[in-house]
Amino acid sequence: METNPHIFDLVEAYLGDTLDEESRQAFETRYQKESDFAALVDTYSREIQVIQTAGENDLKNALNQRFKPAQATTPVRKLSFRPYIMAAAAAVVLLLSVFFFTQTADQQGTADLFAENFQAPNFVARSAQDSPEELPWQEAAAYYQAGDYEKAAKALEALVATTVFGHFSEAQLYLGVCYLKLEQPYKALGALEKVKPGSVFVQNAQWFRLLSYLQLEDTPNAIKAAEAILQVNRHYKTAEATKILQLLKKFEST
Amino acid sequence: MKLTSTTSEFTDQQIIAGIKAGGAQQERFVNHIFDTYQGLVIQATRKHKLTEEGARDAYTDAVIALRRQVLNGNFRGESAVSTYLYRIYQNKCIDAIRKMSRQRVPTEYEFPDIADPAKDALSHMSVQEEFAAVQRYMDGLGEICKQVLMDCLFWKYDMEEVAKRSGLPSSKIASDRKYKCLQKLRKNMKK
Repeated sequence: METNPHIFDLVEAYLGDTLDEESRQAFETRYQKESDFAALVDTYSREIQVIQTAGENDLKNALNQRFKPAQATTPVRKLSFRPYIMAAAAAVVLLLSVFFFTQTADQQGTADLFAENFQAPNFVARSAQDSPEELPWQEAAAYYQAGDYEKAAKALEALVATTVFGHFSEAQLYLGVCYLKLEQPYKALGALEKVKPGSVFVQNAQWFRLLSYLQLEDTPNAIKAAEAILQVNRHYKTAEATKILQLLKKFEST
Repeated sequence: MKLTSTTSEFTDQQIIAGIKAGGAQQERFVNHIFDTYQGLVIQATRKHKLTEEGARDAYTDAVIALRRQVLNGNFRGESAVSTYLYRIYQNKCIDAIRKMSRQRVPTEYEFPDIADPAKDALSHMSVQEEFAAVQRYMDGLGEICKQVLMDCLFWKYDMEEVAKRSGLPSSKIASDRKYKCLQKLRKNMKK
């Protein structure tokens, strides 16, 4: 039996849940009414399933190679405290935390907050195939990964100046990060503002805007940037922004 | 046990879109998830008294199950990726404990089940039988066929990339090869 590419692709799309509602219904109706079609679908489904299972086996082996070296796993001993001892211990911990928090806040400044929180994200260039920007895009990623942020920034500047460039928002984000690495926070803000509102990189841009203001030691704008993050439902940096906002408000009041 | 101390450098939206995009993007985001939440393994050895090997095995299975759930549309980001992974992982740990002790685990440990529809057609076989059968079918294909089918149907690379990765001269040739390899696989499955 020859493989019918059209039907095979249809089965693949059906199993991958990529058919629209109308096509899905048509597929299911045909499956119920045409026994030849149903037999083909069943055969192709089994083949796809074998490949999925083999792929998962391979993936499992590959992932197992990624485990970090084993850490000591000493069993946790169960301790039984009396309630009043636990309450006293909790009170001591609380007092020490408050003391430590206020001391830290007094000693810290926005620059310290920047240093604590800034981490350049990985930049793995996604393929921009069949586009004249493919090579400079890969080149920018290579410079970035090598830690040469000056050259990476130049390559990204050239790319975002090209009107047809397909990874505009992603490039602006990494450009902003390069500028932060080069201690040019104004330029970073300029790049990050250009990340398009509908892009999937908006939340990253918000986070690095906050870091740009911290690097600038501009507390009022840093507060606004942190508040903007907290207004987003389930922002990936909610915890960090909350902590920074608390400290910034403390700096402002002292 | 919470995941709030472990933060990902990507948003959930980016992770889901990356996995769905297939190809190199998918590999990157699956690896990213795996690396980000590895701390769960140590927690599981303590909470469930699993061996490190058992906890690692359950963790790898959980990441693979998460990938599957994203791809088949069962997970669309209604909860955080980390929470979802945590739930799958807890269930995998409980499976591992059951396997070890062959005793019923108290129900208060269990999380609501997350359906995993991937195992239907091979479900009459035991895991070992299934593994051996799949290995046999795939090993008979030869390296290029195996890679073409994996890249097309598992990793979802586009045909240009499939051709490049397998050293084939064009996407058209890679596409023809895909269907020929499927026929070969069908023959192996009938043997």
